[in-house]
Amino acid sequence: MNNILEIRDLIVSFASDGRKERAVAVNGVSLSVPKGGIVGLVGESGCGKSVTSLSVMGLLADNGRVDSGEILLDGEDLLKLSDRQRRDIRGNRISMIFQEPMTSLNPVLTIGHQVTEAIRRHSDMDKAAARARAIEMLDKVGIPEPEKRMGNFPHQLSGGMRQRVMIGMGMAMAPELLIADEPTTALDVSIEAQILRLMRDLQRAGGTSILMITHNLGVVAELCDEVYVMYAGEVVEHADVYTLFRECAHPYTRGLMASLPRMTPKGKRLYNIPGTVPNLRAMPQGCRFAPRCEYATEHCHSEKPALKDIGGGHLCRCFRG
Amino acid sequence: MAELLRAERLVKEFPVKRGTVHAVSGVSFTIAKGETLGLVGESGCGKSTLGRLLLNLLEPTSGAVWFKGQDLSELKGREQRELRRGMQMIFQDPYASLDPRMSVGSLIMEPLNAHRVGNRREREEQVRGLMEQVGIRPEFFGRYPHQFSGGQRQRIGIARALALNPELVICDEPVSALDVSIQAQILNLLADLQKARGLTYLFISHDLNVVRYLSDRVMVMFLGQICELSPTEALYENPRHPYTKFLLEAVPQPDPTLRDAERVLLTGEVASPLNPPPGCRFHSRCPWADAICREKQPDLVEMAPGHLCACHHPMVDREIF
Repeated sequence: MNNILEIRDLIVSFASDGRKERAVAVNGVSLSVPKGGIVGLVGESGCGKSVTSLSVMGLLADNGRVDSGEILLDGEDLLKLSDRQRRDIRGNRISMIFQEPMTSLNPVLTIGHQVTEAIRRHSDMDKAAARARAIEMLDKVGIPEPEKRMGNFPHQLSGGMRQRVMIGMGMAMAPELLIADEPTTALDVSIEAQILRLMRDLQRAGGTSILMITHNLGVVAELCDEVYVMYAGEVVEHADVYTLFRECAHPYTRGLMASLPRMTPKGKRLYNIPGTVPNLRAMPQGCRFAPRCEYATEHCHSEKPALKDIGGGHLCRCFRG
Repeated sequence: MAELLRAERLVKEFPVKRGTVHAVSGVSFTIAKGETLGLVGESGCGKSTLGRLLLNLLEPTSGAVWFKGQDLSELKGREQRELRRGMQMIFQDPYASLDPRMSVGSLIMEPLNAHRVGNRREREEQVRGLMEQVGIRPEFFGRYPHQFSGGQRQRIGIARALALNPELVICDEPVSALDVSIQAQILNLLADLQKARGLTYLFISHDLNVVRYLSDRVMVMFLGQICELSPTEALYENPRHPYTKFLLEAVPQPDPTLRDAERVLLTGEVASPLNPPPGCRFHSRCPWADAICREKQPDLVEMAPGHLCACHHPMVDREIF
């Protein structure tokens, strides 16, 4: 087993009040995270990247449901486990960090209390040992004077510090997989760079695999080995990071790359993808990107392209290939 | 180019329980008619406060803002309102800045009503014209903000800001809440409007790539002070202030071949504007700080034509990393 995580044909839908039909947010997604690798999952708001990761955690909202598919953690299908078994896996074998560390930490409990509790919940350490481990973790993620910081409340720390605490908590049990959902989006650039470096160091040192969910192509280029690009609930392209940035094939990926301001000198118009993401309840018949695609033909509007290998494991969902 | 706006030794302090927040400390600069001045800096550097001071939404503790040759603080009531019509603002969050209970048409018309422009029919005519200019179909006059996507809402915010035909528009992080493909649409729209209407922009952003694309000159702030102000390319190609250099180094670039380049990252936290240190405000994070930096505040001096820098040891033609 070379993959720590394997998602196969995942379909996730949501009910919304007053409607019979469920909205399909993730439509047949397959992806894998190799052991010790960092895999990026990229896409814009509403493409299904966060829903995919929440399905892995088993943390979908009440109106959400996995309709079909498999989520294998080191070969074991998480969807076949009981709630209790999944709870044990969360935090122990898979951890997740979120965009806004303030809302993920309890504002009325000290940092020390929260990190220590998280460790005790997932191990049989006694209080003193868990506390020592907590201090060790805070130190590892670069929090100065960790012993003193243990007594602080979340609001007494800066955003960057809070995200370090979350990472420290997430890494405390040396999980096999860390899912990071936009972990640096709310942070300043100088702090973002520190957090990215920290994540890479931890991954190199401890062998934790990382699934990095982001909309930021800069972050992907900086950190990831492989990338999946999602659009409207589906994977549209997959390649190793160098191939993707050198020769991306899908018109959507190309559009995303071209609309980055860095590539365009001042005065020239930025490339932009016309239109907006389709509504979950009104998906186009054929290729889901066709209404926004400058190369779309009639064929694209009537038939849906499959995700196919265009060479050396580079996958692309487009008739043009 | 003719001067449109001048800030003179602007200071804004907020007294709080534990001391004084020095949000803006003696900032002077000018904006020429028709140019785009980019303003970058990290959270808490005072860039948003500065934007609000320029618009007189906040009253400065000391210093003055001159707009079209008139001192804003000298004017009272009606005269001040008249002058301020010429400067408007576009906000970051298109979800929070539009009243959800007002139709799009009435939102855009509100400033026209407030300034009693024309009669009802003329105003409606004008609103439809504005909607067309920003790319919102005039038929949507009676729709509500929640019926629009984030990008469309930002267009509505732009139409509202343009209703009174301003000369200066202060854009406070106008694209940071938007997806990449939508961000490019809005940046292009801002460029088109500038051309069509001869607008002048102060473009506040933490995204250095976006600022580079859009600005003629760029101003970098750190803890309430300008540390560097320069024509755009000179700043990016040849930064003089260590802080600017660090900021540029920290931005994750969408190019994986650059990832292993030796980058020097800023250590430590963004310092607090609450009771900032004496001397150069950057000294506690600057690797080259010495005795003079800890004692004396550096002046903003011209290092090359139009290139200003406030540093005792500016980086002049030397390899430092």
